[in-house]
Order: sequence, then C-alpha cells, then structure tokens
Amino acid sequence: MTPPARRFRLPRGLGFLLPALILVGAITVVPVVRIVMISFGDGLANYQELFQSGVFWSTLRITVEISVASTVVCLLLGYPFVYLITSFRENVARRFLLIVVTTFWISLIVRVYAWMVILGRNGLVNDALVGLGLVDEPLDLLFNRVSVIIGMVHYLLPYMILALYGGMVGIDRGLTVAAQTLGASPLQAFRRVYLPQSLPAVFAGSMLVFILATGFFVVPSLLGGPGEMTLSVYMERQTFFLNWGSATSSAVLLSAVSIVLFVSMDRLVGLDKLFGAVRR
Amino acid sequence: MNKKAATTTPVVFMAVASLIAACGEPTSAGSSGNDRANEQPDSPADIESLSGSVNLNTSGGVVDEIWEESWWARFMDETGVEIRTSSPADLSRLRAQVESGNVEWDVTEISTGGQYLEAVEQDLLTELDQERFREYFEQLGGDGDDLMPEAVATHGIGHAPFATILMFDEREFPEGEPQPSSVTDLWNVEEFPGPRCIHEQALYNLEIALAADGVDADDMYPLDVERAIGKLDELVPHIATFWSAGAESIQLVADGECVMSTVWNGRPFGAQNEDDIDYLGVAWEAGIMASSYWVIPRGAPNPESAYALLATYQLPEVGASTANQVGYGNTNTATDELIDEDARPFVATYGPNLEVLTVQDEQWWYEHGESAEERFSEWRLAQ
Repeated sequence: MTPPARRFRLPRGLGFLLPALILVGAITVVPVVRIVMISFGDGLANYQELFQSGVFWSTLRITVEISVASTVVCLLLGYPFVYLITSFRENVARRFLLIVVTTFWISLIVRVYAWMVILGRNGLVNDALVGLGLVDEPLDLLFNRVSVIIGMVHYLLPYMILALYGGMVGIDRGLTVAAQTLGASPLQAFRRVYLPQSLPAVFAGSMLVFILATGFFVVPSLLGGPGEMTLSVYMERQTFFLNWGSATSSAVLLSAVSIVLFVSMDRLVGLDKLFGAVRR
Repeated sequence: MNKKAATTTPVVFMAVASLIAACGEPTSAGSSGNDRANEQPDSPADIESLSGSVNLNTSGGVVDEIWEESWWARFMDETGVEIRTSSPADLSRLRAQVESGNVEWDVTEISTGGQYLEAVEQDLLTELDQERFREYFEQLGGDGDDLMPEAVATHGIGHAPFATILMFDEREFPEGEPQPSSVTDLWNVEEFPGPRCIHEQALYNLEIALAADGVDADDMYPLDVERAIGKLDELVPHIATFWSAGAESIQLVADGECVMSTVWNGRPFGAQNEDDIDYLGVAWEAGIMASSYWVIPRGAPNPESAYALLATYQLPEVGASTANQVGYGNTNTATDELIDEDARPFVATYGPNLEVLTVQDEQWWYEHGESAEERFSEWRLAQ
C-alpha cells in the first residue's frame, strides 16, 4: 500500500514560491513577532496588568458571546442551504455559490450603513411597522446585541457556506438512500448517516467563522450599543494612550485562544479531512 | 534535510532581511541629515531656499478641502514646496515611526492636549526653535505680535481651539418653543424627551457630567471621576448609542437616532454650510474647550519646510478661511477680525462662547486620562 521509502525531495520550482514567502515574511511574520515581543517587553507585567483589568475580562466575554452567537446563526442558516445545493447537479450548485460569493463585492462599511438605514428609528422596518399600525412607537432595533449579530452574520455567512460546501459536496447521497431502503426513516438516515459525515465540515466552518468573528471591529463599534465593546475595540482604545503593552498582550491572548481552539478541533475531528475533501 | 533545502532556507531569510532593510533605508539616510539641521540651524530661515516636498498628516474630514484652497495653496505659492497629505492623526503611528527611525510625516496633528504632553514626555517631537518659527512667519507677511501665547508651544503649534457642545434636532424642539440651552440639558429628559447620543470616551463627557451635577467651572479640577460616573448613570436609560468619529454625531441626529447629541462645534456649522442641514440647534453652556496641536516628529525628513508650513497655518487669512466655513480658526489674534459676522457665533473662541465653556485641563488629562478612560469603559460595560 505505502509507496517505497524514498529520499525527501523539495518540489521543483520552489523559486516560484519565493516572492510569496518574502511578502508573507515581511508583512505578516515580522510584525507578528514584533507584537509578541512588545507584549513580553516587561516580562509578564503586561499580562498581569491585563488579568487584573475588569474591562479586559468584560470585553473578552462580550467578544466570545458575540462570536459564538454569530457562528451558531451562520451555521443554522448555512447548513440547510448547503444541504440543499449539494443535492443539485454540480453546475447548478456552483451557480448558487457564485451568488453567495458576489456578496463579497460589497464593502463591509457599506453593509453596516445599510443596516443602519434598515434598522434605524426612522428606518425601513420601523416605518413599515408604524405605518401598518403594528406598533405606536418605533422599536429600538439598532445599537444592541441583535443588530451587531445581524451585521456580523451578513458578513460571515458566505465563509460558512463555502467551508460547509467544501466538506459536504463529497458526501455520497447514495448512502442515505441505502439507509432508507434498509428501513431507516428519512430523519434517522440523516441523523445517523449524513450528519456524522458532515461534522468535520461543520467544525471547520464554525472554527473559521468564529475566529474571524473574534477580530471584528467596525460592526460592533457602529451597530453596537453601550454593552457591545469587543476586545478589538478595547485594543484600539489602548493604543490611543500609547499603551502598547496592554494592546499587544490582548492581541496575543486573543490569537492564543483562536490557535488553541483550532488545534483542539483539529485533534478532535481532523480538519485536514475538510481541506482534503475538495480533491476527491 | 538535504543539501538544497539547507541552502534555500538562509537565502529566504536573507532576502526577507534585505527587503526590510531596504524599506527603512531611504528615510533613515534622510533623517540623519536632518538631525544635523535640527541641532545647528546654521543657514538662516529663508522661505526662498526651501525645496522638495513636505508630508502633512491631518485628522482628515471636511476641513482638508478648505485647507487645500487656503493654507496649502498659499504655502505652495510662497515656497514652491509640494504638499502630500494623509490622515488620520494617530499618536500610535507617530510613535512607531519615530522609534523605528522611519519617519514619514513632517507635520502631524495631535488631537488632544493630553496626548501632546504624552508625546513630549516620550520624546517623539522636535523641540521648536521659536525664533526660527517667527522668522518664517514674518517672511510670510505675518506679525509676530499677533500670535497668542499658546500659538507656539515648546514642541508644537496650537491648533484651533475646539469645543464639545450640545447639538439638538430643531425638528423635535422647534424655534419658538423651549429649546435646550446648555449641554447639561442632556439630563433634562422631562422637558426634552427622546434618545441621546454621547461620545464614547471619558475625555468628552466627564466635565459635562460634573457640570450637570452642579460643579462650577472653577472647582472642576481635579475631576471627581466617581461623581461624574454617578451622574452619567442617571443618563443611561436615555442613551441610544456612543459616537466616535465627528461625522457620526451629525449622522445620528440627522437620521433621527437621537434627538440630541454632544458634538464638536465645527460639525453642525459645517453640516449647515456643506450639506444644507439647517435643523441643527446648538447650546454652548457647560461645553468643554480643548486644543489640538500641530507637531514636527523627531527625525522628520524635511523640518525646515515643516516650520514654514506651520508658520503659514498661523496667518490670519488662513485661519479666517476655515473659521468662516467650519468654525475652527487658528491661534492668531488678528484672525478674529477677518471672521465673517455670521460665522463668529460658531467659533469656540468667540467671546460669549468662551465665557460659558470649561477649558479642559491638559495636565490633569495627561496624568489621569488613562485611568479615567478605564473607569469610563468599565461603567459603559456594566450597562
């Protein structure tokens, strides 16, 4: 089965990779290393200070809450969509994906302002509700947790869909049919045959969306109310006072949380399955 | 690892290293030359001798368009030096530039007095040669005696003073009926009901809250942060949201998200002139007056042109052109006379406005700003 052992050889044409490596090295690796170095500039002092700050813990909690909620909503919206389109012929499914991808053409700021127009006190929704006589006073739809999650889901849903599609397109629908011919109800067939196979995609999509969500700045700061101060907003505030120690250590901790989550998910379900799926 | 891999890896790192070095090179060579110029200005100040280009970093926004026609055009006419602009004003980037020896800005704005003092403390700025500044100023046709005492500080030029005041929606509180007359009317929810918006930082709130709680302007400092927070607590049920960028405050009132909001004094005036938004009323009483600064970063590539650029800024015609359109002048006493009659009430330094404003204590904010902001954030998050 396994190919005979042979000397490891670098792939040909490595030179083509050099420009990309240099670029990534110069504009990603170097700054990240600098950030980590600044955060440990006074030993562990920055981290100790951070752990004692009530604001840090509150913003971390808010960041995790908002990110988890956005991830769950994306999953609930994305999974049925992908389940449906993966049952279509591939060229039809691709057309649906193309529509999903076109939403990337609209910048985040424009979308956020669009939501302000839609959800505002004199916005479309409130005008309609008041006009139809359903409510007397405009509802407070904007500047709260829900409006932040709406804005984030709007942006993150395509990522969830693409990740789910990559993992779920390779699942053989014939297996569910086979289960049903052997006496399983449609629900049983889905739960015991299809769902377990789609879990790696679910985890991968959730991980991707969650990690992206933890870094959001514009959406919580424009669509959020008093209580929607996320860790990235806190970091920006710290740099205002040139408090680089606190800002960088928050950034390092946030990245550490993401990395730990990613690695443990990988151990648990093997995310490589997902990335391998497209090759099938 | 085979031989090829062993040779490739160092090559990659060397390439990365040399790329980084290359990025830093031109400016560091430039700044070493300028350090000499800073220490011994052996050549006399002469606007005719200036050349090259100067990089100006502003906080951006509508005022840039006015400056382009008044300040920058005048400077380029006088000196032939080209101006390149960028924004926003960001102290963090200033520090990164100075510390890496890769200074890109010749002049940058610093938006608060506390931040200015912080930058002085961290040795990020060029100490100004007062004489040299005045020489340039007079060569440009200015009169040195007109400059206000705060016009030329040790490390910066006093920008126009600005005030955080109250803006309200006249569609809600029309003329002829009772209108808010003080920033403390934020708390007057009986007479002026409706959602409010306030700034997201303690810096633009604490003095107002204390004034609303009955503290006189004279007894304001040192600020009683806990007392201010206690007063802000009363406002919580009526706060729709917090704003951060100046344009946001206008947007929030124009969209009807709040019936009143704190605002920087130039914004409603600018909205009226530029966007024909004519329903914004303002109240100055108990507002906070503060200043921002123009500074020359330490190691700026073209400090001589920076001096001349700052000197041009203080010319009365230049200050009046912005004051007439957005309500921010400069720190030259001769400017006042050139400001249009109907623009004067919108300028922070206009006599009747000055009387009712609290002048922010930069030193207090420099010393206590960070802990005050931390407390403010804590309060905000507890809601």
